[in-house]
Amino acid sequence: MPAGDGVGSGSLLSRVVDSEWIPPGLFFIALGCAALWVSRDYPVGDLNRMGPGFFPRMLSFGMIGLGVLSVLRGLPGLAAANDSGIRFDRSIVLIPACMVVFGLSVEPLGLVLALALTIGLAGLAHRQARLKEVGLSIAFLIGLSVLIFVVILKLPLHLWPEL
Amino acid sequence: MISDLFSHLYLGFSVALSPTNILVCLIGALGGTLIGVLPGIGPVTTIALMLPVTFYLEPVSGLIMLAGIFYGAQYGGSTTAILVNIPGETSAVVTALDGYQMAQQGRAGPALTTAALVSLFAGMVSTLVICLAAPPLAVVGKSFGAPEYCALMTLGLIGAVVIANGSILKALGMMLVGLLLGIVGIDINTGDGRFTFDLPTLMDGIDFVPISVGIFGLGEIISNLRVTDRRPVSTAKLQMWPTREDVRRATPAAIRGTAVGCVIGILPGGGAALSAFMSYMVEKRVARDPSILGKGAIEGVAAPEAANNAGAQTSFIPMLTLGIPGNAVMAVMVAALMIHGINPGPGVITDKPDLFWGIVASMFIGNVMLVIINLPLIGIWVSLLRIPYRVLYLAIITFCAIGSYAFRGNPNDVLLAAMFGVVGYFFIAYRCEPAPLLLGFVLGPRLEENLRSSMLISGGDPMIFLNRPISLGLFLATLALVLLIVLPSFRRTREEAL
Repeated sequence: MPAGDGVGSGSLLSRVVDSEWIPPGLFFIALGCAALWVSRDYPVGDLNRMGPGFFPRMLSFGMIGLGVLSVLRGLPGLAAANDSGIRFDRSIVLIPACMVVFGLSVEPLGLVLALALTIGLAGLAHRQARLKEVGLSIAFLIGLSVLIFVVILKLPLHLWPEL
Repeated sequence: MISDLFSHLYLGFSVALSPTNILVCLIGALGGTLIGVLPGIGPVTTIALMLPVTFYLEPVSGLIMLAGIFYGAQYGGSTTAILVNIPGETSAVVTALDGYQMAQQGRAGPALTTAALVSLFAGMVSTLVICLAAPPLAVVGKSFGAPEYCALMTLGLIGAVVIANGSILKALGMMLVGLLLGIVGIDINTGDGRFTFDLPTLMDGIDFVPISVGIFGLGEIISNLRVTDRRPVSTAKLQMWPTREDVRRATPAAIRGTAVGCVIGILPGGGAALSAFMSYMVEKRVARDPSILGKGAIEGVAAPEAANNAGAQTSFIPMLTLGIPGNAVMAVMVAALMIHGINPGPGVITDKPDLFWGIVASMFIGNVMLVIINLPLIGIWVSLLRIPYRVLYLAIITFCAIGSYAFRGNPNDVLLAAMFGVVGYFFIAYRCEPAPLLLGFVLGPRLEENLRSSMLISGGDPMIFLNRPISLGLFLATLALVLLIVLPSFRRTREEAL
């Protein structure tokens, strides 16, 4: 991750990343192309009897077109500094990661341990994380979740590892 | 006609006044107020997170609760906008302009009371509008064929694009992404899997919960974690009641705001936030001295507060009668109906009268409950703002995790939500408005289906859309919207308003 790795605001790459228009445009183009590629074998049919490939193809061409327009729209602004754009720091890794941990652990470990891991990991994502607050949050949120989802709503969740 | 209305309302109240439904209405309204107060979590995320919960309730109870969250959020949003200049919801951004000024002048109490009372007034009037407008609209809707639905959905989608924040180009792109996500899964016409990558999880399509939890819940957390906490000011003892002069000035503003909200709410793309903006613009036009607005004028609180509540409620009309959501919250509501096996469309009123009239009656009850409960609770709501974000987001994550898992009991949905979280952050960072994506996602399969059957009816002739009067009218309306986008003067106003 290029987390402020000394690339000055002058470098072309960083100016592209900070552009409000070019990355979304590239995203639409990429998604449109990917959708075209995946749906290449879906029968298109004709206007009278549209096949399963017709609508996806319309959408793909639309996305590619809009993506190109968006990139073109962003090119003139490339010279100036922009303030938009994604920033790579730990929250962009840790927040999705803690969800992945929950998804992988909730069935083998049960709700209590899975939540403890998830909330603990999520707690690290804040720059001013305080150990005591995270610890108390874990205890409180596990209690609250068990109360709401298991006791009151009776969702079929097991609390502890299945032996 | 009138006696019909009374018998329908009687049915509705007999449903809404059952102990369970009063309780869920209360929970929804209070929960809505809570998330309305808290910045960083909005009604779309909350309603999406509550979807799995409503799965375990009767359909009508579930929808009563979700509706309560939506209009409750309008109340909560104004409280913090006025007291601490933090609009908990976008619809309260306008209220903060004059409301916070009033608070600075020591008149927070009258501002809060006015906001609550005009919201009650607007809520009552707009619910009556639903009672009167929905049944005839559903009758019209029953005569709609595939081409009309195509035209209507196109109008709805373009409407969402027009009112989206930021660039229209990107909003259109987001809409297409949503449509594409919507058609993932088995094609109902041929039974072929599309974009499923042979993954069993994707065969039934991508679920609504991982998308909305990811984009609206997680994406926003990632984005918020870069912003430092803002600490609200303390609150002194409040003098609650407005003066006679306040009442004289607020009453006509509230009536204007309600009227604006009722109209904007029904329009495609409309809803609470746009209603509030429009009513504020109306106040600026009609004010004898427009310069008082923004400096603590009570009209600037009364009108947008009435409008956002009225707009929130009348946006249920196209959703309940035609199955077409006008905004992101209504898109979640459509998903909620479908989860309960109810096909959103003009049939809902006649086939499920207890559901429709039960929801409508609960809106009367919920609005009254909100005022009675919230006025004494204002102090508590504000003290909740002292919870720092570094604790709050842990609670949101917990609910995101359990919500996306428990919905289908499928751990893959949690992984999918994590992926959409990254995508959602990307969208926020590059100012791509996610509402059109959500609408496209909900409407995608139905748009394709209706497009295909329209073409089948006409033998492949696209002129079918222009030969039928209703569909022609809807397409002309869409065209008018597109022209509006292109007109530079409208673009400027839109940029100022949003």
